Parts: sequence; structure tokens; C-alpha cells
Amino acid sequence: MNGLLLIALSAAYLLVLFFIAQWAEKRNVLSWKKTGPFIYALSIAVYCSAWTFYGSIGRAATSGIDFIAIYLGPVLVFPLWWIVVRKITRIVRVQHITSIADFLAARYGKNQQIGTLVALLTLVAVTPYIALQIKAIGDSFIVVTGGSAYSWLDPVLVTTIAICAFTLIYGTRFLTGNKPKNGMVTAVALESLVKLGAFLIGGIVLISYVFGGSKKVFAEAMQRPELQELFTLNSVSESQDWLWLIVISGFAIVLLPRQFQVSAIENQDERHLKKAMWMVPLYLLLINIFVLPIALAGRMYLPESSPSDYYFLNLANAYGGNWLTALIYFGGFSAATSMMVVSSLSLGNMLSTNVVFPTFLRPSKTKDYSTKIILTKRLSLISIFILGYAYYHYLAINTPLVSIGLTSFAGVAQLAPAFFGGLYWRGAARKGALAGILVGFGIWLYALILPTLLSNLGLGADFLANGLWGIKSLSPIYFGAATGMSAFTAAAAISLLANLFVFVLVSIFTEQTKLESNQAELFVNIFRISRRNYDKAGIWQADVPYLDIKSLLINFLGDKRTEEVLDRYARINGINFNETVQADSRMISYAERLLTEAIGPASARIMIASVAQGDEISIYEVMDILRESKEVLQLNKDLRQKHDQLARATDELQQANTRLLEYSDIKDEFLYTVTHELRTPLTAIRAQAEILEDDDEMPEADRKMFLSSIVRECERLTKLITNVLDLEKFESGSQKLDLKKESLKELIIEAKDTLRQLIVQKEIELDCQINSSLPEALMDRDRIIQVMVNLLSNAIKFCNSENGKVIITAYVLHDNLKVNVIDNGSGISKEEAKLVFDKFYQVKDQTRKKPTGSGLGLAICKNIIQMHGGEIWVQPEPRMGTRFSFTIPLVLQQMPTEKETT
Amino acid sequence: MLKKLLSISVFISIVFLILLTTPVISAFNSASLLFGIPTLYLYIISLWVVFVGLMMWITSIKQYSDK
Repeated sequence: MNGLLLIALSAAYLLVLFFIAQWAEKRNVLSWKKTGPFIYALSIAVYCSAWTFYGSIGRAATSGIDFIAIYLGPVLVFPLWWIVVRKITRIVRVQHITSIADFLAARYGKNQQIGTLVALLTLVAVTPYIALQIKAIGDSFIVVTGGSAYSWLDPVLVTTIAICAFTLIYGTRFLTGNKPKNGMVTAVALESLVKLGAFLIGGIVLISYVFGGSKKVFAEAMQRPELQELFTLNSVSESQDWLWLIVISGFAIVLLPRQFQVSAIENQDERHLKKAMWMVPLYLLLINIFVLPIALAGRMYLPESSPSDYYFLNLANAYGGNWLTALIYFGGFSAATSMMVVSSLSLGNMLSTNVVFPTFLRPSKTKDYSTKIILTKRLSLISIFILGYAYYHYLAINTPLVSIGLTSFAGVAQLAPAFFGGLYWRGAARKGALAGILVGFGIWLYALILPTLLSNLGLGADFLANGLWGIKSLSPIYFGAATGMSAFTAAAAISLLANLFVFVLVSIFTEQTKLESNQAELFVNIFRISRRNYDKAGIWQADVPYLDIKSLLINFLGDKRTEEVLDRYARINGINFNETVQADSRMISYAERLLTEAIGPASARIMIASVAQGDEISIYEVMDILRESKEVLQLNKDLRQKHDQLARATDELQQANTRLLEYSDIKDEFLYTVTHELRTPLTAIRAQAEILEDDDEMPEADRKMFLSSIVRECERLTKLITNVLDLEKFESGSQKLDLKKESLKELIIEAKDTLRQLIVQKEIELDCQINSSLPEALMDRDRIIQVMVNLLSNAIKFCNSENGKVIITAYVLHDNLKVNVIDNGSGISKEEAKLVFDKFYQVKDQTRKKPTGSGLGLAICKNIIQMHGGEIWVQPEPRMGTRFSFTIPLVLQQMPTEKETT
Repeated sequence: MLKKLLSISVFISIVFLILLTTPVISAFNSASLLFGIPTLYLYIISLWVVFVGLMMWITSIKQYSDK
């Protein structure tokens, strides 16, 4: 085919693409409900570059079926698309990210070092890949035209320039990188259709019509052992390659700058992701289906000198005619151009925002940067093309397409640990990312790039063979050779694993800065944060004069666009800037966002910080505050609990205090009572003794009476003191019981005997109804007798003065011995019943005729019975007599150590 | 429901990764033709077709994108 004609056709193709893109831009086709998802899915197929179109066949023809691994990797990622890429897309939108370098810089604390490193790494890794496209265009041009006859015209250079121009017009037409580029994406999607159509049509025509079907091709290849090999994975090395190819290409579908561009940054609607989940795998299947048959056909029907990368074109040329050749050429051309457009755009953007701006931009309110920014972006983009072309021209001449591509893949895969780690692991730290990428990238350069460079330049054969300083194990190719892995797999595996190891290790042992951990939080928990308002992701808290913000924007966006965006902002938010003096935090955030889109997040932050002296509050700080308040809440809850506990303790203390006060009162009262009780007999004794002393001539009878009265009072005193001491012993717990098996009946009789004199004297009828079969129980003999005597004497004291009657009953009731002592006296009231067991009770009640006795007897009884584990009470029956009862358990329970005083 | 579907997605990814790597793939790694097509090639392509079908099915379920 004529070279000029082909150039003309290529130009026409680009022109058509240009108009379609322009039309798409105007109509905003990506937002169309029906076509939007398809365009999104097809644009992801930018993955299939010239490597796919030509290189796969070359790989299949030389090493067989393993070419397909680099498509299986991406395919296996698509089930995760909704999980992973949706998250990325959301972060991109919330953080106004325009490239993968921005993404990583933003994740690791809006850090410029990371941004610059990633930008440079991808530049180094992807430039050869762009060169690969240029090489494919050049080589295919030569194949189709049979070598250009016009030495003054380098068709490759011309097409490169044309593609560069196309990219310039669509890529940087808008200053802001975040603005959806409908035109470019539509053009890319269209190119995906062209390359797929070309591949399928070419495959069907050649394989089905010319060579009699793929089965025939396979059957023929089966006859040749050297082709049979291509049906299988031949060695351990190939199986290892296979796995690593899947892994590396799986990363590539997400991390390659162009893939990141189309799948995350250019995404306009998260729902589009769903369609891509099956469409892209289907697309990849279709574009690969004829690769093996064509490769086999090339091996069988083309001369051995024919380059395997261009079997497709050569077969078409030899068997299909001009138009088929042209179709396939354009398939390859579209594959190459779409890759170049998107890659150069994203790389150019990265280069300007992450390398050029941070280096040359200095905060200034007076300089006008807006034109410079556009110029920088354009120049960056052009320099990408220049670099790509230079690489092609000087280095890539003899390298097969696939190995260039794979090297790029392995380079970009170095971002995987920091990228995916940053996406899901909050602990991923900046230093870890930096160290991991540096180590991985270093190994990649040393083990993959260096040998390629050296062999392309015809240098260093000795170095490769003998290693650094003659140490073989330091040779870039040592590891592959030692393990039997291919050079690619060995380098990819080692660099990636070392990268991962260093990344994790350093991350674990470094501390994150505040901004870093804020950003980590934002990235990892993006869905929790960004449910509604995307714009609230960063809040500046400062009072900045509105004019400062405006002049800053003018510096970077230019007068016209600044007016435009501010007008829009004012309209939307109902602000009149003529009256506004201070820009509020929302306004500042808006400005930061606009700047971010123009010059990247790190630079934008510095610029804004230069006018806003206040500290920045990110949503994370807000979240921190929230989290803190949550912690405070928890703390409050704990405090409240503690407080409650304290309150309870205080309450108890207060109760104890009240009780103590009561006790104190009781003690005072007790002392008072005791002294009172002591004084009464003492006074009597003293009075009588004085009378005896003074009156010597007292009649003998009177003298005797006084003396016996003194003796009686002394006895009363002794008894009182004994009782007080007794009670004190009981109450202090120092009184011990002398427990033995005793018969209650005997004790009652003994008590009765003690009081016989009194009973007879008072002419009281005593009725003892004691069950004869009362079992023995553990008792303190003397104490129980004391109780009985007390109760009995009380009964005798209080029973009717005439016909006095006292009944004693004793029997077994519910494992207890129960004793009742009943009199027929006037009885006591309910109120009194509660009090009779109190010490000196009788004293308190002045209404009754003061009986004889200390008033301690019942209190002592109560103590004794309680120490036996029993109970004592009185049945208040006014005018019906009084019934005192007590119980003693047959089986002694736990001895109450602390008796209660009620 | 969405969680379940997402789990199924992850499961699909893992199962196909296992099916497409050694040792499973070694069972089909023979230089022979099955229905006139190289065995390994046929195996991979048919798995791929099944995979696309599964992805179409799962993303067509209404709740898949529900939040």
C-alpha cells in the first residue's frame, strides 16, 4: 500500500475521531443513561493497546498460550470492581484527585514526596510503554507500505505529532484535570470498538475463510511438535510466569495511569461500574479469541524471517488483500493511539502537578500563574511524547513488544502495596509507602531495566554475567538464573515482595502525623464519610479576606475563569461578594478544590495555607473531635457509673453515719440511763446511810429496816452492773456460748424452780405444758436458764395481781424448739411490742408505773437467743395478756457473728 | 443482600483464580486436541465464558448496587 495514502488515511481517521470527540463533548454523552455505561466499559478496554493487538500474537507464536495470562489477571479483578474501584472512585471525587500520584500523595498526608516519587516512577515505567505504541505504529506502517520510500518523511514522527496534538486539544482544553473529558473518553471508547472490530473481522476472514477454520489450523499445528508446544505451559518456569503474570496484570488494570484515569477519574456515575464488570471480561475474551490461531497460522504459512509481532498484518497482506491489511493496520493504530492519548494525558498531568508545580511554584499573591499552569501542562504532555519517541528511536528498536509492556507492568505494580494498603489499612504510613516503593522500584530498575538498557546499548555483558564487583549473586539476572524463573518473573516477584515487606514493616514501626492519620481515616472509611456531601471533605478554619482568595484564584485560574467560578459559587450559595469582606471556611475549601484540580492537592494546600494563616481543620479533625466526644461520652458514661457508685457509697456512708449517730444517741442514752439507774439506788443508799449515821438513837427496828433497804439497793446495783456488763459482752461479741446438748425441759424446770419462791409469794398459777418428747438441742445451759428466768419473772411481774396465771408451753415447730411464756396481765400495745427488747425500754415509757428491774433483761435475752440462731418476739395483745415466744433451732445454723440491734 | 452478593463476587474471583492456576490448570496442560481445539485453550476459554455469564448474572441482580 502506498505510504502517503496510509498517512492520509491515518490523518483522516484522527480527524473523524476529533469531530466525534467534539460532538460527544458538546452533548455530554457520558451522562446519557443508555450509552454512558457502555462508553465507560469500552474506555476501560484502553487496556488493550498495540501490545494486545500485535504483541500478543508475537508472544503466542514464540512462547504459546501464556500470552493469555495478562488478560486473565484483569478478568479476575472485575468481580471486585464494585468493591475496590467504587471506593477509589469515591475517594477521587471527594479528594479532587486527578491522577494516581495525587491519590497516593493525598492518602499519605497530602505529601509531596510521595506524589513526586510516584509521578517519576510511573513516568519511568510507562514511557517505554508509550514508546512501544510508537514502535508498533512505525513497524506496522513499514509492514503495510513495505518500507517508506520517502526518507524526508518519518511517518512515525508525523503520527506521533498528530496524536500529541489531538491529546493537547482534548486533554488540557480544560484547565481542571477533574473535569470529565467526555470527548476524550468517547473517542477512546470508539477506538476500542474499532480495534475489536478490526481484530474480529481480520480473524474471521483469515482463519475461517482463508485457512479453513481454526480447527483445521489447530489440527495442522498438532502435526508439528514445535507448534504443539505452544498449546501448553511447558515448564515449571512457565507455570511460575503464568501466576506472576496474572498477579502483575491484575494490578495493572487498576494501577496503570491510563487505567486509573479512565476507570476512576473519568467515571461519572458509580452505576457505570456494574456494566463494566461483565463487559470488559467479555471484551477481553473476544479480542483474544483469534490470537492463538493467527499465531499458529503465522508460524505455518509465513516465512520464518517474518517478525512474529506482525503476523497478523503480514498474513493479511499475503492472503487477504489491501483493504484487510488496512483494516488491521487501523485496528492496531486505534489501539496504539488510545493508549497514547490517555497515558500521556495522565502522565503529563502527574508530571506538572507533582513534579513541576511543587518545584517551581512559590506562594505569591501577585504573580499571575494561570497562563503558566496551562503552559506547564501542555509542555509536560508534549515532553511525554518526546520522551516516548526518544525511547522508541534510541532504545526500543530490537525489543519485542511484550517484554517492553511487561517491564512497564512490573514497574507500575510497585505501587500496589502502598495503593491497596492505603485503601484498606489505616496503619499504612507515609514512610512505609515511601520505603516500599523505593525498594521495589530500585530492584525493578536494577533487575529489569538495567539489563535491557545494557543489552540494547551493547554494553555490560561482563557485568551481567559476573555481577557487581565480580560477585555473581549481585548480577541483575542472578536471581532468575538461580531459581530457574524467567528474568521477568524473578525480578517482578522479588521487587514486589521486597516492596510489600518493607512497606508493612516500616508502616508498623512509624508513627503517622495527624494529617496523615486523618487522610488514612478518610480513605479507608470513605463510604461512611462521604454518604452525602462531597464538598465537606476539608474545612479551613480561618478568617481570610475575600480579596486574598480571589487574587490567589486569579493567579492560577486567570481572571475570566475566576470570575466565572466565583459567580457560580455566589449564585449557588446566595452570596453577594460586594458585601463580603471575609471568606468563610466553605469558600476557602471551594478555592482549595479549584486549585487542587489545577495544580494538585499538595501544591493547592500550600497555596491556600499561604493566605489562610489559620490551622486547617480537615473532616478528620472534625471526625477526631467527634470521636473524642464519643470517647468523652464513654468517659462520661464511666464517670456516671463511678458517680453512681460513689453516690451509692455516699448513701451507705450517710446511712452508716446516721446509724452511728443513732448509736451515739443510744450510747448517750445508755450512759444516761445507766448512770441514772446507778444514781437512784446510790442516792437511796446514801440517804439511808446518812440517816443511820446522824441518828444514833434510832430504834432498832427502824435501823434494821434501813439496813435491809441498803442491802436491797446494793443488790439492785450489783444486778444492774452485772446486766450492763453482760449486755456489753453480748453486744461487743466477746460473749461466747458454751454449747452442749441440753434438754430444754430440764432447763425450763430449773428456771421455774429458781422462781418458785416468788410464784408462791404472789399466789400465781403456773401451767407448764411441755411436750415430754422434746429433743435435745445445742444450747448454753446457763444462758437459756437466764432467758427463761427473765421471761418468767417478767410474766410474774406483769400478770394479773389477782388470779395471776402464767402458762409455759414448749414444743417442736419446723425444726425449731418453740417456747411461749404467756401471762394474763394487761398486755402491751403494738408500739410497745416493738420496743420492749430495747435497752432500758421501761425508762422511756414513763406512763407506766415504774416496775422494778434494770430494763436490760429483754435486751440480753434477745442477744442470747440470736446467738443461738433463734428468734424472740412478743405478741402484742392488749388486755389479753402478753405472750413472749422464742425459738431455738434444733440444728444450729451458722452462728450469727454479728448481732443486730434494732 | 448486597453484602452477600459482594461476598459471592469475591468468591467467584478466588474460585476462578484457583481454577486458572496450578495445580488445577496442570490437569488440562496437555498437548492434545479436544473437539479439535487445544485442550488447555478450550479449558481457559470455556471457563472465561462461564465467568462472563456469572458476572452478567450477578450484576443484573437488582440489589447489587443498593446501598
